[in-house]
Amino acid sequence: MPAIPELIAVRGEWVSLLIVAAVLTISTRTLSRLLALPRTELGDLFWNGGLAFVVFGRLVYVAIESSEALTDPLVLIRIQGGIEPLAGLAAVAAVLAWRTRNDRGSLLVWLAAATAGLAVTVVSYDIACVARDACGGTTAPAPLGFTMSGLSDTRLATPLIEAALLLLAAGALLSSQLDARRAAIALGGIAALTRVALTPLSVLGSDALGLESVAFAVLGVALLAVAWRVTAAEGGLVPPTEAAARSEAAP
Amino acid sequence: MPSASPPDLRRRSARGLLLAGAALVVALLVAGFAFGSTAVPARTEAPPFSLTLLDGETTISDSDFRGHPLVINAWASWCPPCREEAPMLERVSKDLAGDGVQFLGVVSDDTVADATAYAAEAGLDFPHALDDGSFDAVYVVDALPTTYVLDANGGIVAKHSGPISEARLRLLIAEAFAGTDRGASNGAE
Repeated sequence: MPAIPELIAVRGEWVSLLIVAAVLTISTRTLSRLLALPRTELGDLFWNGGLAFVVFGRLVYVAIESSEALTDPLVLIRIQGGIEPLAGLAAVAAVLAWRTRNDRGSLLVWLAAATAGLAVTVVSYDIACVARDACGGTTAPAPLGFTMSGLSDTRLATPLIEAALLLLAAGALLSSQLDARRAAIALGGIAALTRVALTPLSVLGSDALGLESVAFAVLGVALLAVAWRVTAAEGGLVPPTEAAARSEAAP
Repeated sequence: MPSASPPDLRRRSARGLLLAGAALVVALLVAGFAFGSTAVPARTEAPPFSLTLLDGETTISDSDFRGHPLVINAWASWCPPCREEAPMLERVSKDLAGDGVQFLGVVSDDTVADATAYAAEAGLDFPHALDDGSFDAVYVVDALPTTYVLDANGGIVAKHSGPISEARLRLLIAEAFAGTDRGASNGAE
């Protein structure tokens, strides 16, 4: 049984998750106004979705890699081994389905909220690579790559490149004529496809391309298709009853 | 009814996101120009450690390995990339044993029984110790596998998160020898 100080020792992964939680909390206000959704309900979605992502993603990761470790009561705390992102996304989808169980018409609205939250999560987690000493991608000559973490070769900062691309994409989508909710769904699709495109530039290189990449590619295309279809269908995104009521009540 | 967001907020958000993205791109390019040198970085001294080998009896510490380059590989039996690189580590350890290069496996997030069984199955002859948390606390194992290369003076040459190629491992070991030489000459001065 590890000593208590070890459990509460500051770990890079935990610092990263705290940074993600802080950024999500701070951005909730702006996102609620951009997406015209009640702030508290958006915050609830982020909190429940985030918790479901981490817990379910971690459990599935351990179940796949070492099912006997599931008996370890500390399996959720020791997240350094990893989290299965697709399982985490499935858990977020389940949270979305539960959230809209009585009002399926608002599913796309909350999908937009979830994809916006996921985009914020990806960008902040990527930038937090600095805190967990995990910015290094594949080797590349300077100035594209640079020396980091005591390594003598030069490497791409692939997570930071992903964050930069998503920030630029988000800015471009918001600058466009696209409705903010549709832009959020499209950004989710771009984020998934960016992940696939940058996988060969990760520290594991092209060996990391596999079924997970295929799943992300399918998810990305699907989200872009949804964004495109609801753009084509006038009024495809109906605001939820609560938001409508609140906006009517607002001065 | 399409959703409506305040145009001012939208403009400000778009501008902020574009500026943040552009700033990150500029920062990456600046870092590339500023830290693009392949010069060997300054070595930091490896933190001390004391671990028990998988036999449950023998205790080892960092001082046992001083005087020769040391490769520390953090692994677990359930970790697929760890299993993938294990045969290469064993091959390089045997190949460089004559040069005095030492290898130490540090088993992380695993049981003694599973780790011992896998080490036997894979024919890993170099010593393996179970991390009771004290190694991770000071060496910060962010991912499995993670490989550390130390020079003979106890300076950390490199920390490599994720699977390491044989070419890169040999390169880092060569750097460890170079670091040892530099340390010796600095000591002479």
